[in-house]
Formats: sequence, C-alpha cells, structure tokens
Amino acid sequence: MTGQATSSGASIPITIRKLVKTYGPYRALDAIDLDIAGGEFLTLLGPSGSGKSTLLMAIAGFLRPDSGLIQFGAADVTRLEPHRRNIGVVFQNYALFPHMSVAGNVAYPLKLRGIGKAETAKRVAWALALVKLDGFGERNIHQLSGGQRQRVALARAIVFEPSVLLMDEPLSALDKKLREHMQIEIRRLHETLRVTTVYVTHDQREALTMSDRIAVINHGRFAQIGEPKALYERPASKFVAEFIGDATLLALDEGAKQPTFRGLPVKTKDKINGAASYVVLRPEKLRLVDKKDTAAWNRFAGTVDDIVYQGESVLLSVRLEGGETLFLRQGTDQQSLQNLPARHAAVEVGLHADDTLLVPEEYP
Amino acid sequence: MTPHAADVLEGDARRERLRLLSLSAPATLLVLIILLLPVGWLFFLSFVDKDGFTTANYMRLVQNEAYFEIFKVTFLSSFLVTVITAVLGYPLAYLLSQLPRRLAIIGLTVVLLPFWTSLLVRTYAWLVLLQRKGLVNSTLMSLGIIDEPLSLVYNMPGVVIGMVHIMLPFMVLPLYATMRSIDPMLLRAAISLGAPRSRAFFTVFAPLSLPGLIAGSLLVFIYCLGFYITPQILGGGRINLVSMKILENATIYSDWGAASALGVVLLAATLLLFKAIQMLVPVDRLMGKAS
Repeated sequence: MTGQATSSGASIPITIRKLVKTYGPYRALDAIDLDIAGGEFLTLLGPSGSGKSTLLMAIAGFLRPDSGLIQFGAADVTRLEPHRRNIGVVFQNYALFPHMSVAGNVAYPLKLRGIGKAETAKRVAWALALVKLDGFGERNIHQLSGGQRQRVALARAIVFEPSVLLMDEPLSALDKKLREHMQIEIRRLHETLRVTTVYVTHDQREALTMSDRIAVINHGRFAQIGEPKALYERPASKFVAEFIGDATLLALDEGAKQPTFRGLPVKTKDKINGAASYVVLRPEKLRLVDKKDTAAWNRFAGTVDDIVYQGESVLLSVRLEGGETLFLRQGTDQQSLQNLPARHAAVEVGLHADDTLLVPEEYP
Repeated sequence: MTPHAADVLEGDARRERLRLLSLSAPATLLVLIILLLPVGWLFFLSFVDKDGFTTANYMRLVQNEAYFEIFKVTFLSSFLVTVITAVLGYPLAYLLSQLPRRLAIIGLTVVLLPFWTSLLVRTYAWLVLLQRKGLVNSTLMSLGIIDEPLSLVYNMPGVVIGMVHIMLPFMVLPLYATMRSIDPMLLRAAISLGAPRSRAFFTVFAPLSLPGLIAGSLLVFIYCLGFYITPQILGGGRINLVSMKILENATIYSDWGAASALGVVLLAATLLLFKAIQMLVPVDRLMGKAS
C-alpha cells in the first residue's frame, strides 16, 4: 500500500512534542512531550478524565491535536489520516465485526492490503495460534466469551504487523482472574513481537505488571514517567504516591529546616528535597515496633482501630493521636497472627529510615 | 441442595414461566379473532359457491388474461415504490442516525409529520400538485425545464409518487433503528485497520444496516400490495390493482368467492416472497450482534 507512514517493521519509536488539545477552556492535553523507544511497552496510567485516552486517540489519528507534533520513526504523522498510519488498535469493547466470522475479522486488515488468499489464510492461522485460538476461525463472534473476543481483537490488531500497537483499556470488561491471566498473555505476546506498544489503563496494578515504563498522566500532563519499580519506590509527588499503590501521606511540619512530624525528626536516607512536604507510608512497609527497636525507625504512636483478615494478609488500621489513620499489612503466618495486637490496644507503628520517602505536593 | 429440592424449584420455575406467558393471552386471543378467523373464512369462501366445493374462482384467475395483468401491475408498482423509498430513505436514515440524538429526534418528528394529517388529504394534495396545471408542472415550465406539461397523474408515475410519499416513514423508521444500534467504534476499528472511510462504510456499516433495509422493504412492499385509496385516486381508474378488483368483486358484483380467491392468492404470493428473502439473506447471522 502506498502512502503509508511506515513499512511494517516491529520497532518504530514514537516521538511526541508539545501536543495540545483543548475543548473550550479545558486543556485535555497540555503540551505533552513523550519519547517511546522502538519495541517498548509503555503504559499511560491516570484517573478518568486525565487525558490518557485523548493522547491515545491522537496517536491513532482519530483526534486532531490543536498543535504539536507526532512522529513514527522519522515520519511526521500529526496530520496523517488514521487508515494510513499502519497501527493496530485494540478497543475497550473489542469492536469486532459481528457480521464476520473470527477468521473474517482477522483477515479484514489483510484484505484491505490486497494480500493474496493463500498468504492471508497463513497469516490468519498464525495470528490465531499466537492468541491461542487455533481452530476458532469459523466461529461466529457472538459464540465467543469475553476473553475469547479480546483475543480475536488482539489477533486482528497484530496480523498485519503494524508499526505501533495501541490498546485502550482492553481488559476492563473482564473479571479479575481472566484479566490477570490476559495481562501475562499480552506481556508474552509483546515479548514475541517486539512491537512498539502504548497501553492505556486506570488500573495501577495492571500498569505495574505489564509495562516497561509507565507514564502517569493527570490533568493533561505527565506527573511522572519511569519504570514500574521506580514509580512505586520513588514517587515524584503526592499524586503519584497516592495513585500508585496504597499509601497514607502525612503532612510534615511547615517551616522546619529538617523534616519533622509533630516536632519529631523524620529519619530518612532519601535526599531531602527542599519542597518535600509529605512522608509516604505504605501498608507493606510498616510494622509494629516495640521499645527495643529504636535507632533506624520512625515511630508513630496510635491505637488499633480495626483488624481485617484478608486471607493472604491482615490489614490493621491504626489511628494516630492527631486523628490520621494508617494502614499496615501483616503476613498470615502463625507467628504474625499470634502477635497481633488486640483491638483498641495502644501500639507504635514503625517505618524504617531506608523505606522513608518524602514527596512534594506538586512535581515541579 | 437435595435433588428433591431441585425438582421443586424447577417446577416452580416452570409454573412461573406459564403464568408470565398467560399474560399474553388477551393479545393472542385478539390476533386469533381478528386475524386468523377472517383469513380462514376467506380461504373457505374462495372454495365454495351455491353448489358446494368449487375451484372456479381460481380457474378464472388463471384463465382470464386481465387478472394476470392486474397482478403484474400490482407487484410492479409495489416493487417500484419499495426501491424508490429505499433509495430515498437510506441516506435520510443514515443522516439522522449520525446526528446527535436531540437533532435526530427533531428530524424523525419531521419525517413522521405527514402521519398527523389524513391519508386522504395527503393524496388529494398530490392530485393538486401533480395535475396538468398543478404546481409541479407550472414551476418546471416557468423555469424552462420543460415545454409541455408532464402527465404526472392518472398513470403509473402518479401512483408511485403518491405511494412513495406515504410509505417513506415505514422505510426510514426501521432503517434508523438499525443504524442507531451500529456501534460507531466498529467504523473506527475498520479505519484503524487500514480502511478509508468509504471502504469502512461499505464493508462494515452497509452490511450491518441490511436487516433494517430488509425490514423496511418488506413493510413497504407488503403494505403496497394491498394499498387502495392512494392508487385509486392518483390512478384515476386507469391503474388497476388487486385491491381495487377485490373491492369491485365484493361490492359491485357481490361475488365474495372471487374476491376471497384474489385475497388468498395475494397472501400466498406475499408469504412466498417473504420466505424467498429469508432464504437468500442470512438475516440470522446479521442479527447475531444482538447478543
């Protein structure tokens, strides 16, 4: 096909510069800059209305940005029509053609590209095998389960070896077990194909599981871009710390030279940022401490409000003297269970200096 | 749960289904009384005369060439009206289905507006518009498009024009309903897979709108087969349809047997046609998306 953005090749980098899209006074995309490496799996993560889907639709070409630049490799595609971009898109509701069989759906992009019958049959079989749907070719779409439909949508999006694969919350309609299974499958598929992939989700755990890098987006801007571990262990702002994983954030005392919480110094190995104004407390990084543990621990005194047994862990909520509630997670091995405090007991919660993170209100 | 309890539950479920089904009894009864009984009576009448069983009513239809001509004209006019309403109605329904819902409702109201006036009034209005010195002819002549007035009434074009106008909403409504239910994401998906807009329309939208087109066409066609008032007035007696012949037989000659036979043949022809379309078009497959 002539006039296409790129020939089919698996590892095309995407460059986005100063991308702006406004709806009236509302800035859906506020001068977005993003570099996606060839073959990378990048996840756009954000709450609803953050601009993540808007950005994906701009990359797909369904939405014309007000200004800015989108490049696939060296080719400027900002104004290129979507059908010439050679992208595979997996939509949230699958968007399978109900009047075609499974094989008909998967063959559709090949037919458009004028590929011969024998070659089409071969490629369709290849794509269906890749998503583990061998032998489903003649089925009707309405005979398939949700998970199977998702696989067909995936096969259809990769069968023509697109330069870029875009996925818009593809797993949100599936139940939890199936979703977790499909996350691993998509991850494996990406490792096989190495196609540059942009994945949109609002599920932070999904983002952590699947991505090479995560771009956290809020109010049309990136709050932080980084590898999953970096984002979880080193959030750059209050928003990221709260959005990824569970965390209680305690406000540090204002105006103090060294970080203090209600007059007590907060020990940390974190490089102290002048703007740091919160200490991050994640449930799995907290534990109950007694008088013997001292030097390396930050201590927070409170009373146990509630103890919730959740199977793989026990979640304790502890109310501090100032009224804030902390959550801490404990294992369910026998020793931990036996040492659980009683409800309403006074306890001290410890956060090790190595695990103590301080974050600013806003990322500069 | 014990097997016994399961049986009890199943019995309960069965009774509940029956009870719900019985709610439709009045409607079923109504259909039985006002539809099946008269049609059965019609069927019976067409096979009897004062001497008992006879096939004379049907023999006459086969032997008399005039009847063949009448059936031909009836089916031809119905076919023309169906095709023209489809050609006019499809783009209209497409436009309405793509509009924001609020505008679409206004548009649909305009489409349905003719229903608010009597059929007779609309038909006579066409007579006024289409006659030799009517609005259409005088406008075309003053614009210099034609020199001689066109003969637009008391012939096939007149009958077809009038019937198309009356029938258009019956085409637009099912088409609109079907088109509205087509997920716009499907077109996006087609485009993302490499289809230009027009190709996406013809490979995805058009086939998915086919059930609406078939429903609309059947509605219009079947209605047209028995249409009486409009073709009677606009045909001015020169266009003879089955409906007119039935009326003639029943009221002028009081020959209920002949009238019934015509009705039965028309009904049989319609059912055959219906079956043929069902076999030609895989409606079930197209409807599969409903699940």
